[in-house]
Amino acid sequence: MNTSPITNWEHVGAYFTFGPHSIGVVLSIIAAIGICVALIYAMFRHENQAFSEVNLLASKAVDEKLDLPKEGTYADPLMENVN
Amino acid sequence: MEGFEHFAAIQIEVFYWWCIAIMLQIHAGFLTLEVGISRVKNVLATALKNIMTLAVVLPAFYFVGWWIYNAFPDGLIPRMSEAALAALPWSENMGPNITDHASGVFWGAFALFAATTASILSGVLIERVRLSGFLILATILGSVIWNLAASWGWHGEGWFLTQFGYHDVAAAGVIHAIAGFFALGVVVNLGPRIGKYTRDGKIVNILPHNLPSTLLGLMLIYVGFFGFLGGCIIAVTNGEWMTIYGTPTNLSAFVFNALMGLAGGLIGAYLGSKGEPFWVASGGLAGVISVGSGLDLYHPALAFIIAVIGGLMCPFIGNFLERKGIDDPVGAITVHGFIGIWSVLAVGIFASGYPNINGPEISFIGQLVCAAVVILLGFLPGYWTSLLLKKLNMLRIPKQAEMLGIDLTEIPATAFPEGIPSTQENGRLKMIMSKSKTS
Repeated sequence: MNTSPITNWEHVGAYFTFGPHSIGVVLSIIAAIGICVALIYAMFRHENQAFSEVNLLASKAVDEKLDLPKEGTYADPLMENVN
Repeated sequence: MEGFEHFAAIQIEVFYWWCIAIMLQIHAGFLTLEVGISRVKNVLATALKNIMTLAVVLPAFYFVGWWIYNAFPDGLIPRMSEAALAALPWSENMGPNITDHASGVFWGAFALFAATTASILSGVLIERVRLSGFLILATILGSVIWNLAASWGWHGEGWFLTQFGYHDVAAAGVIHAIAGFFALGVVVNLGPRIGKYTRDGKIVNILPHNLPSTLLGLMLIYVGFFGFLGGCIIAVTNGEWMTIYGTPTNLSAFVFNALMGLAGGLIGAYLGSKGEPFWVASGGLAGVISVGSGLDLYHPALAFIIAVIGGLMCPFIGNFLERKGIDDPVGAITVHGFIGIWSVLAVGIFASGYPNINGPEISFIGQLVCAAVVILLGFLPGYWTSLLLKKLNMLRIPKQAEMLGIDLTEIPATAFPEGIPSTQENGRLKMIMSKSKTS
């Protein structure tokens, strides 16, 4: 793919591939942003799947082990008698 | 005017001085990475291998390597040019010289390139290579083979450029790919670690003893890479920067694409490996390597995409090599060898048509031909040298030493004499003391 906006190096300013304000640059930017969005989506999907698997397998056991405090209080399991 | 030129010369000298210093961090990074990947029984041997790479490659590069780089741009017949003769260790430019502000710092930057090239090899061979055999291989790779590749492909008059318009600004081909394929040639003869494959060829996962150390190591390499990229740009006294090929550029151009390359590689590897930490961190490095060849040319968004592709490919190439019996514990053959070639080809795919000062314009065919030469120049010497060492029983440690661990059998020190005991928090101690007072 010939992407050079220059034919020689005399008096060159911006010389990156496709050249400034070109369709190539705009498409590259759109694709790059799309990849970043795809990353967040992929992460989000992976997390949902991972957490739902854990919920299914260990939900009751985890609740019992933690002995969750009444609503409105907080207790560190290591520090008894401390709110 | 004379005062200005003198000041400019000192500035250039200082610039390369700090590039050299930052490049040493690459070695700290490789050490930390490889120690983490290694099993506990081999950590000191692994670390010593990294340290001793510097010990042998730097002098070998002084005595032989720098001359090879300067003397062989035309191929296999050495030039008797002023630059080549000035690179011989007895020349007046190869030691303290008040009138010469350039030779030492350029030599130093190249010397660290040489040591980096040899370090790429070291991780592939951990836990089973003999240190002496490895140092021979590292010297050959870092002071002969890489230098020849650089003379051909990272030189203003090298035949890769003059015949094919080759473009590889950050040496992804002539350093990374050369080292990766040299390592491939060696590992074919070295063989896998004991226990890596079952009798019927199934892969056994030998886990890193300290994966956080490996991740830290890769982050240190990212920092060291900035010294490397700084060393890849050429400063001239009129205030302009240029590539090794004589075309204009600047550090601003480099940093746009280096950082976008790092980010793209991380993302690509995350997507390709489904978030496996080793491959994600390796992907960052693969991303920077992916954009290295065209670092001065790409629009940053394009660099990002090229790096994503590079990072994405890494876990698949790594797994493919593993299935083929290539035991590469650190993924260096993938990240440096194959992604180095991707970098060279990417210039041909995405940046064809750029003019050269001293050769035809950049083309896909030019990049492809030179990539093929790089692969052969790396693989064949690696294969043959390691085969010779194997025949002389100098390549691999004995089976018993491998089972016991190299540290125990060879290293006069112990890594963790107390193990790594857990320690209590101060708050917990206070709680125990107050409980005992009340009871």
